[in-house]
Amino acid sequence: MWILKTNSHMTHEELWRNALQEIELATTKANFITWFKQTAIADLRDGIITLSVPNGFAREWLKSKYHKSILRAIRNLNNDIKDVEYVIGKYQPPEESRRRPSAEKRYAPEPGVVIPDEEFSLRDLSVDPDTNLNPRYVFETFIVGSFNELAHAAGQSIVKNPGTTYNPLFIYGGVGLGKTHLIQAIGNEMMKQNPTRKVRYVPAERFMGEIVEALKNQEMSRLKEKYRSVDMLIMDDIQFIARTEKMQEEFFHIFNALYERNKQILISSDRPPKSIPTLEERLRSRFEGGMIADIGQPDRETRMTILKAKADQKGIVIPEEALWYIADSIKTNVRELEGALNRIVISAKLTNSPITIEETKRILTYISQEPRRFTSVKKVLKAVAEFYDVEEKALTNHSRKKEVVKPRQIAMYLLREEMKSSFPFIGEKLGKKDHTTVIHACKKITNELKNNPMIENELQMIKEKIYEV
Amino acid sequence: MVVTVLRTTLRDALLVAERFLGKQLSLPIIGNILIKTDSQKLKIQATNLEMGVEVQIPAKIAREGSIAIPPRVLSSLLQTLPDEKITLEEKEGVITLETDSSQSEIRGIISKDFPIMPQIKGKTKVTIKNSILIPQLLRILPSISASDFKPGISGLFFRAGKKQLTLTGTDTFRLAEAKISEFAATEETSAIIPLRPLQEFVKIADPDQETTFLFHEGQVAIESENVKIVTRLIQDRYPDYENLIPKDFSTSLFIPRDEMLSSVKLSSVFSSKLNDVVLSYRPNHLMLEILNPDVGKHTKEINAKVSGKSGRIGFNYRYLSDALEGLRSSEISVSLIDETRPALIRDDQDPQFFTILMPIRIS
Repeated sequence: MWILKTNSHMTHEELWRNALQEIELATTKANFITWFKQTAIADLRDGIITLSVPNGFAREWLKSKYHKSILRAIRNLNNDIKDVEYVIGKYQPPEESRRRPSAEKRYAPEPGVVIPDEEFSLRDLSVDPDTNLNPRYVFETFIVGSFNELAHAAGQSIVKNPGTTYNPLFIYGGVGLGKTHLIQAIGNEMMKQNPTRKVRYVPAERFMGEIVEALKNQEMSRLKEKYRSVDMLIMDDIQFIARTEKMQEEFFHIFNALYERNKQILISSDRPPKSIPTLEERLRSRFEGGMIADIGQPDRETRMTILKAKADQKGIVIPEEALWYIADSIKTNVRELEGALNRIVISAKLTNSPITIEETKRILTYISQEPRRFTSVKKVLKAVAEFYDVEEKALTNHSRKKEVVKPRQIAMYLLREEMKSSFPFIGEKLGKKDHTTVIHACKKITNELKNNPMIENELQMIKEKIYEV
Repeated sequence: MVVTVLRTTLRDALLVAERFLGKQLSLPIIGNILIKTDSQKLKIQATNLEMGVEVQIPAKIAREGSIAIPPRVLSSLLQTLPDEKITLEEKEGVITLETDSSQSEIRGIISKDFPIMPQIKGKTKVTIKNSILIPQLLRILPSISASDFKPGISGLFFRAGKKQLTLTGTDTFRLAEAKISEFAATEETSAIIPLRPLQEFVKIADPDQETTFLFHEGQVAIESENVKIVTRLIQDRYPDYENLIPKDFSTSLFIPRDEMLSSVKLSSVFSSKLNDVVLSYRPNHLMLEILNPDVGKHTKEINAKVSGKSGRIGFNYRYLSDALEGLRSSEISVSLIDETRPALIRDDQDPQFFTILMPIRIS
């Protein structure tokens, strides 16, 4: 064993971690886990270390049985330490009461928290611990339009004939279009009609967390049992699971076990199975074996219906033209739609004035990306040139230098996507190029977007530049 | 170790200690109880490392010593043995029980690995008669949050002031508070005592004795004459709940307790998953409604005095019946503001105790 020279620079944490490493070698594993977990150096003053321990038993035990080894381990690292004292630190709940990691996150108290009045009444909104379903998501509040009627109908028929008609049901669609709402509503409806059925909703991310936890505690069989005993398994955001093979394998087995016994499986994702690149073939074919339904983007009328329903729910009066304005400004995301409405309502409340179309327009300019319409070719070129640090002129000349080619292609892509300009127009603007050159550029960037996440980031940053006020 | 004890005394002590056994794979010894001699007494200890108990029983000690043994075997044996006088002899990890007519051996574990019971030698002492303390604890403990998600409220808020001892419990849906004026404290103090040990305490406490709470360095010892429970305290801030207690009411109801309680309990037959029961009130008229589309419905007219505004309010029937059960008088008072704000439930004969209860939303 060697003695560290730069001991005085060690933080308390490092000092204790190093000391623990030494103590661990000299004790049995069981004893180490029992007595040394949740210990830390709370204070170091005048050569006396105060060690924080989880409870009185640990304090007595460390004091009477391990005092010498602790002191020796610490003195090996820092010779100035004369003694160690023990204090009972803040209590952390033991592992077994932390079975629901995400629930804990939700309930984690901020220091010195005051129970707000609301908290007292949140009960009927809280998540059911058995099913994980949020009772807020029900069919009654799910608005059906042409963009989601297929998924909705499939969901309805699943409730009627679980496990037989469409199994599995795979629902995919973009962000904020109501996938989670729909699948939770199916689960809730199922529970309502058959309270004895076991429904379990789990986001893929939590599923992976549970597997990791189970592997660590060697409780894999218990976890499997838990999932195999359900009548309906709802897995949200399956695309995350596709990142690791082990997870896919575990899910595959659970999937098979449920499928064989005709238990309903419900899966959501942000894209269809064949577009999830790392999804294993055997899982993909299984997903495609059931029913695949997509949730598209809501049309104008549906957006209006959604807004009206939300306004009714909140009990607020808002002029129709203002609602139309919101519906026209936010096209691709129902969640944003709701957010915009909330924002308008709150700002009207704050200023204590009725909601008007003018007010709505003013507020929406902050939220929506509608200023798009003010973009010009010049702005796009300037932003691209600035971002890639090339001369603006270089974008419009015929140079084939590598440093210029990519920015030029990006600029073409952006002009096409953001301004909906025609290919010949873009070619004209970027140095009289042929329209096929532009088509090639757009295709190339579109392809690269799929394989290279960096490009997406870059595009995002450039767009921010373009639309900044 | 060689000791002679009375069978029933030892059996009762074991029953108490067994409640505190722990279960931990890395430390199997805490699934055992420790029996050890201490001058002319026999001490029996058990712990799960979060709390521990020590029961002292009188015994005739012939030779000092100690042993840890699995309690199940010993207590089953003690339940059935016919003789009253028992001699225990420990030798190399095996304990021999000898009575006039029988002899048994139980394999134990050498006691040196058994956790050491923390000794609490603080100066902060609060003493209360069990006849006063236990009834108050029994009505507060059900309100205390059983989950650890919010550590601050997972225990009893214990505050000894100059003239009053205040005990509070809440799980954010309801809150119960009692004030005790007959107590002795060496100084003003406040602490949050975990729920589990208190639940065990009320089960084992002898109503004729008194109990001392001894606080020291984040721990408390709850001591009666021969039983001592040791546990850590919860080191968190108790939420500021004072402003939650409703004050200006628009309706007050005086309800016959027994009639109300039995009706509320009947709710369990009908109630939905929300456990909801609805009180519909107008001047001098109170109706209890339970509706569950899956099962059916039930209404009950209750002969109550109602004054103030009319309305409907929903409660979780479990919480409501817990609150009613805590009150002893034949008539209880329920004060309401509206259907979204907490209700105050108490007994006008016993102003030292009240419950506030959060309504649940009704359709």
